[in-house]
Amino acid sequence: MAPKKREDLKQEDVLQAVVIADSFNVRFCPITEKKPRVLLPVANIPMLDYTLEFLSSSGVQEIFVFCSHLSDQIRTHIRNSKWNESSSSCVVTPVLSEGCRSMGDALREIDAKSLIRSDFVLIYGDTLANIKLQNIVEEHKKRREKDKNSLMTMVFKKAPPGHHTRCKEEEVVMAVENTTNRVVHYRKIGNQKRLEFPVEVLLDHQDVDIRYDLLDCQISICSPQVPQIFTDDFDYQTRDDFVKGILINEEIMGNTIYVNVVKNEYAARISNLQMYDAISKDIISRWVFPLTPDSNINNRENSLSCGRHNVYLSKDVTLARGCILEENVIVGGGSSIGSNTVISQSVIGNNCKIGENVKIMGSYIWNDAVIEDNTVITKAILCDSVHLYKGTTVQPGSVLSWNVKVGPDITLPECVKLTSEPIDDGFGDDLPEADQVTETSPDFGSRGKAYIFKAASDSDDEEELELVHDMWGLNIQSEDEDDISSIASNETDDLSDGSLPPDDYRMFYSEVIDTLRRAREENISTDNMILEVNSLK
Amino acid sequence: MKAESGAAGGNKEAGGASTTTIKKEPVRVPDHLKADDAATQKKLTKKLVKQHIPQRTSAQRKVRLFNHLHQYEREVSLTQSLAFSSSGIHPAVIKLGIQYAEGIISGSNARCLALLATFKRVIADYSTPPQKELSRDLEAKIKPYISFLNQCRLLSVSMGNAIKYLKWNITHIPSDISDSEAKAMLYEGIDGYIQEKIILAADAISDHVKAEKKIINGDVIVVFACSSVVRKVLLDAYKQGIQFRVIVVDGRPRMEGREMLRRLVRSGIKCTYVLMNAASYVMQEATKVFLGAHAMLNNGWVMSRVGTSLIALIAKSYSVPVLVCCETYKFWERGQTDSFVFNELGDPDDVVNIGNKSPYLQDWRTFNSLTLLNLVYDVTPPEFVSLVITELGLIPCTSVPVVLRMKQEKLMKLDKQFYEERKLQY
Repeated sequence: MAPKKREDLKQEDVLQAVVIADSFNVRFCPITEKKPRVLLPVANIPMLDYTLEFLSSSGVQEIFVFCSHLSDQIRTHIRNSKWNESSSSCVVTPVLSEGCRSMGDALREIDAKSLIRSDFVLIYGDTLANIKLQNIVEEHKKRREKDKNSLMTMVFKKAPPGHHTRCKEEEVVMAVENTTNRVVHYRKIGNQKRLEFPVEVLLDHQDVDIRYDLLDCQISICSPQVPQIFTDDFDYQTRDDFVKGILINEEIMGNTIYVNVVKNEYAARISNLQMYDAISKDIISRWVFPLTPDSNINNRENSLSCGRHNVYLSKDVTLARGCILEENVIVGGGSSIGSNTVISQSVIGNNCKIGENVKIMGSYIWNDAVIEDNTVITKAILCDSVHLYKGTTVQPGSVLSWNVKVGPDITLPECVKLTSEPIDDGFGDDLPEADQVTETSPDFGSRGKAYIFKAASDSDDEEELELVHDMWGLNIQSEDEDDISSIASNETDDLSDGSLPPDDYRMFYSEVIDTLRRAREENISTDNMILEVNSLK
Repeated sequence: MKAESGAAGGNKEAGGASTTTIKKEPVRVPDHLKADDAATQKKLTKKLVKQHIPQRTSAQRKVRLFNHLHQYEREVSLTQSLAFSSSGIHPAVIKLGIQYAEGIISGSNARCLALLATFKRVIADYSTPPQKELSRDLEAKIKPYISFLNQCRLLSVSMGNAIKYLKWNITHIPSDISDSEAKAMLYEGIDGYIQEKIILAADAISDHVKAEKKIINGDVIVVFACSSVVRKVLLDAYKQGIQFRVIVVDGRPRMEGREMLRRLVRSGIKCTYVLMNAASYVMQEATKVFLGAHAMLNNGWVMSRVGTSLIALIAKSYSVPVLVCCETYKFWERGQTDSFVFNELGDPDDVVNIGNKSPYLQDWRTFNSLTLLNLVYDVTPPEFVSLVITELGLIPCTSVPVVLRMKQEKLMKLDKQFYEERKLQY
């Protein structure tokens, strides 16, 4: 008998993944006040399910779902899902931590708990993809065997500029060494039209490609040292900080980051409302195969069947005579649609009742909604249990949060966000109950119960960056910086007590913005920044 | 020009003696359908050498069934052996030939228009040598150009008819006028041809479609590959405000449907794009099929891009009406009932790439028993075609020979007129 070769028996570490189930921003307010973002339905299936399905089909066997905001709901969801059954191929463990404010904090927690043993996949909970990660992980592992300092492989998807699945807030320009796929320069574009590249990028490395055709899906294969580096450096809050920090310290520490560009597969992250819209459309048009609406990811009883022109109908849907489902429509189980209704490019959830003569275009209506006759809904999101009375018109860009009721014969303004309870944002004084009721009734119909939601004001320059991207439903094309500073000053008008700042204030304000922006790019420490701002005075 | 009798199959000249005293005109197969006949090929080579035109290398591996047709190997440069000389080929013609060979200019109308534009350049640069007549010499000058273009890519029917017209015009130029006047006459003739036969004909076809309400609200129209006339008809109907949508069916290897799709989408028409394998799936919801034609044959058959007859067949089986849009200048006196006797063989290497999948056929030449076929045209029988829309009106397929006869008569009348004028002059 030949002696057993012990060298061949190695303990193979299972592939682990860390899913950050919190985006640490408020793009989906007011919806995310009640339900965490990763449990919001996309094509009637919660986002987290897509992510977990993607990871499990890539061979990941141990998943840690890191929850911060409204973590109980996520934990309950996981417990009730198919991932908790003994027959599931991977183990999903929720990790709860209420105090986290960023991805950096999450990784520091994970380092503290020592959950990670080997290379792991770092991903957000709202990612949709059909990439086969096995090959990328293999490549990463092989690279690590040769070079212990290769910390991370970022996965990007190739998409031409202007593609609808590219998030305008997260446009990135990278300089990549072609032969090794190593990242030598990385920056986010924001709203800049011109960029300056340090010459060393091109001189010090051979065969450098500068790429702007990349879609950031925030999928990374990380080595086990990554959480440690986050613990060591408290400034790192996001992956971008990490990448920039590593690149700056490259000469000292010698760590490297690599990139893998996916061409023929799909990957995207639902980071804001435009992405929600774009990715829902992609799912309905079957770009994310095998994660299609009719593939029944979460094993529910009412499965969808795909018909001509991407019309997905559940089994127990009631369609009245004369109703037209044009194309790219999903209708969830138990829903009924009245006669002469026209629905196109939309998703209707479960148990919805849609009346007669309704026109729904490009909208996303979640479960248990009641839409009465003669309403028009265009490019809007209507959450669970929304009730639209007769004759209402919802205009593009609107978001109607949970339980909102909008009264008969009302036309809502464009891009309005409504909640069913008044917001206590410390702005206006607390009006007495009676006043509040009368305040809303002229706006939202005699039976309406809705209050306009205004996002709380953040620091000035963050606000500016928010305005750069298109608001969902509208197109704000800010061509030059004058536009931006004027829009910014208008916003401050709204939020402050109404007086228009005089000219030199405006100039000072714009100079402060420039300084802050420059400081952020060049990673100047806060002390120097304070000195600069003071000197501007 | 000999009117070619279009019998299929090679009826070779009856060798040997016929005992009857009446000498019958032997039925001849035209030379360009005799690629497998060694004698004809030698004659062709000699002719090309005399005209200083490089002969393209014939493909070694052809499908046996198509041995009688020419198939050329793709070469690095067609024009390597061409020298610059005044007796050589005009550079505009060389440019045109390369554009044809590379597929930069494709499509019946486009090729014809490019040809006529090039010949206008040629005429502009031409000067009658002393002791020679323009009408005879120019024709002799043009002959090698046409051979060259034929070598680059087989002449289309539209190009053939345009050349016929041009030659007729050249030979009918009176001998006593100056060069510049003659050139002016020729320009006028060419411009008139383009305006009348191509541009206005397309407008007339579109008007007929509008007048007879062949496109109505709610129509689902299937089109195949790219046809300039069909595109114009659809765009005009859309501008009129008719609500319809289009399904573009595309076929490999040329994928011309993408160009059609691009232009239709740009003007705002709602389009669906499928490949040929989904044709029967989309035909179930189609209400009409609009097809373009490369040529209309005199027995009512339609010659068009390969795949057209398939679409017409599927449409017939689903009882969807098929409308062919074709200008009268593409009508051809020859008749065919199959796609074998006359066709164009494209480059077989174009069929090797199948997009993302791994190219299994990359080394097809190493397999001795394997040959690839890339046909360019096919013929559709008149039973599958409901209507032919021409600038003269909406005619059934069986009326094509009538139109041809009318054209022939008109030409004969003009000829008679011309010769009578000449007789009077002498």
